[in-house]
Amino acid sequence: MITASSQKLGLSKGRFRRAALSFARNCAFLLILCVFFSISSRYFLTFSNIENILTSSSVLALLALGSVFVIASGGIDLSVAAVMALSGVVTAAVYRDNPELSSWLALLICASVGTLCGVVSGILLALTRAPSFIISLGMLSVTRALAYIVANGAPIYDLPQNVTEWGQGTVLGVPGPVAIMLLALIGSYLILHHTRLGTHILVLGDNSFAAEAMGIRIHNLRTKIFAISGALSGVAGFVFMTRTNAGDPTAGQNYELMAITAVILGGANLFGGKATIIGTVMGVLCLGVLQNGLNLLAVSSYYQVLFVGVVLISAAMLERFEDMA
Amino acid sequence: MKKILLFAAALILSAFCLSAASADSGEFVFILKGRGNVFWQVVRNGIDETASERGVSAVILHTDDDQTPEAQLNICLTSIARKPKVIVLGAATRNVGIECFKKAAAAGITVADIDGNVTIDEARAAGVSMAFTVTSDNYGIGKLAAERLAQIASSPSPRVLVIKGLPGSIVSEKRARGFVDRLRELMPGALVVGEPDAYWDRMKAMNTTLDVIQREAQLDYIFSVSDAMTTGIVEALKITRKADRIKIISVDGLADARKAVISDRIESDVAQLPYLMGKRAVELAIDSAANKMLGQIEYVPTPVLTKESLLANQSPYFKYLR
Repeated sequence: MITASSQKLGLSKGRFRRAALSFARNCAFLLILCVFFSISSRYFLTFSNIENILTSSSVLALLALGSVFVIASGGIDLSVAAVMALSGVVTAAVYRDNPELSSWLALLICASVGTLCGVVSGILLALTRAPSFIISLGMLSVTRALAYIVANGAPIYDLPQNVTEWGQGTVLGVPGPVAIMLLALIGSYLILHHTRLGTHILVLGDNSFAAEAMGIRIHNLRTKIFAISGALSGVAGFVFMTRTNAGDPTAGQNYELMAITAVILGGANLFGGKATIIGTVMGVLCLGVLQNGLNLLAVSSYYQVLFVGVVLISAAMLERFEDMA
Repeated sequence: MKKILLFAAALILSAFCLSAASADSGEFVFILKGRGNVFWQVVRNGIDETASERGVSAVILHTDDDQTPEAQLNICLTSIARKPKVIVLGAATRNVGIECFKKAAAAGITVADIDGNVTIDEARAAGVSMAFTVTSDNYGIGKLAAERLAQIASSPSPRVLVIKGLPGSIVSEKRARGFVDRLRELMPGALVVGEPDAYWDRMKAMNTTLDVIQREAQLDYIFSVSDAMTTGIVEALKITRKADRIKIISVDGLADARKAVISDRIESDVAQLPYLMGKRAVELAIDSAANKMLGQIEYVPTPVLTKESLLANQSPYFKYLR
């Protein structure tokens, strides 16, 4: 006899099975890439190269972590890279004129600018009821233009050393960008998987009518989601700025697409309701390992782009087989 | 209803105001690339200031970046409708350049190139008479960089990395080819360990350099075909603490790269003098509008900037450094 509780157990078992399969797929993919490059290049599996992969992937990982929340809720945020650029430029401009300021303030400014942009996106969504694709596309143009205006079109170079230490130094032996990425990963994981906010986000993505029926205030929730995305984009801007020692209005062109790619590669459903933080980071690492490995093998840029495309299509096919299983 | 009418009236009034403001058709139109690219911004400054000095009307238009040929073609077609005397184009691709020139020439507009993405011969082969091209000798730039390396190299067989720009970019390829060909002539024992593309992007150049350093622990020199990427390479060497060991030779000679040369973060920089390029483009455009000009090629000098030469302010071309 099927009772409500056994039904519930059946649903949980099914979801757990799908999540486990998705995790296993991500691991397998990453493992295959690592094994392939370890065999092809003796420089791949070294401590310094692994550290290099993690550091190089940190900016994209932060953007992807922000994108997870938006995609999980059934939306999309195309402005993440432009917000990242604006955050970096505003902060660099502040430090150009005030180099004596504490470096913690740089992180705060970046995150604040990003959060503000996210809140504006959320409010615009609530006011216009337009698709997030349209609003975020508009915000992409606005924030990118603001970045050019603040920077007067040119990168702002030569930040104080106490600021660039974050991107070029280490924290307890861990590269600064990796430490920031890990903290963001832990925070994002806890929010999405262990808070009511996270549950509401997934419910919204799964079924917005059900979310509304449950009493969830959709517009408030969307504003919070975009604020989180904006905040993480701002932190990504901080890492980008401190790594490259410049606030650059052209930073991150097309990174938004890579961030979305990493989220989908990690097993998220583009239409919402399904996303994992660990999967997303695995997606980012797959892209990072691929890029690093191809550079180590000195593969031509034309073929690098081809390989990335093939990997993405393969990942999509694997997910399809997994859904059919 | 009242609000709609008021809004419509405001819109119509704005349209008339804008129309009045842009009534000047601009005798000379300069269509450039990369709004965010410092090189093109300096070219723009050269055009702006020279046009002001000479009292001519110059309209300067940019694409968003170096990789939007279709957008540039649209800008060109729109510019033709304004019926300027001369259109000077920094073509995103050769094909777009030729397409733009054909349409402009058919409308009786004089056409010219800046930065050498369309050569006189290529235009002629497509049936277009170009008035002039003002450019740097990109192959020559590569050769100068190789000669500088040969001058400073402490061993006869250095290991060298070449960081190129956008895959397939003519400018990038010519610089890289000029460098590699000349290096092989001067230092047959030198080894070019790779020629990866970094898409004119700072972060990509940085990450690519970090990756290559993993396999090339004995790398001696990096030749970067543009300052925009070199700034990322400088940071990569700083992070890996190899700035003392690996020397960088760059191209463009932009302001921040010059600072880096003076502070020993870049060994030397082959300057393109984009300000002078913009200046000469205006002067030649004025001349071509007054007298029919056909197929004039002007190469802008490319001095090699070193710490010593910058501090001594040696070259007469340094006044064009911006």
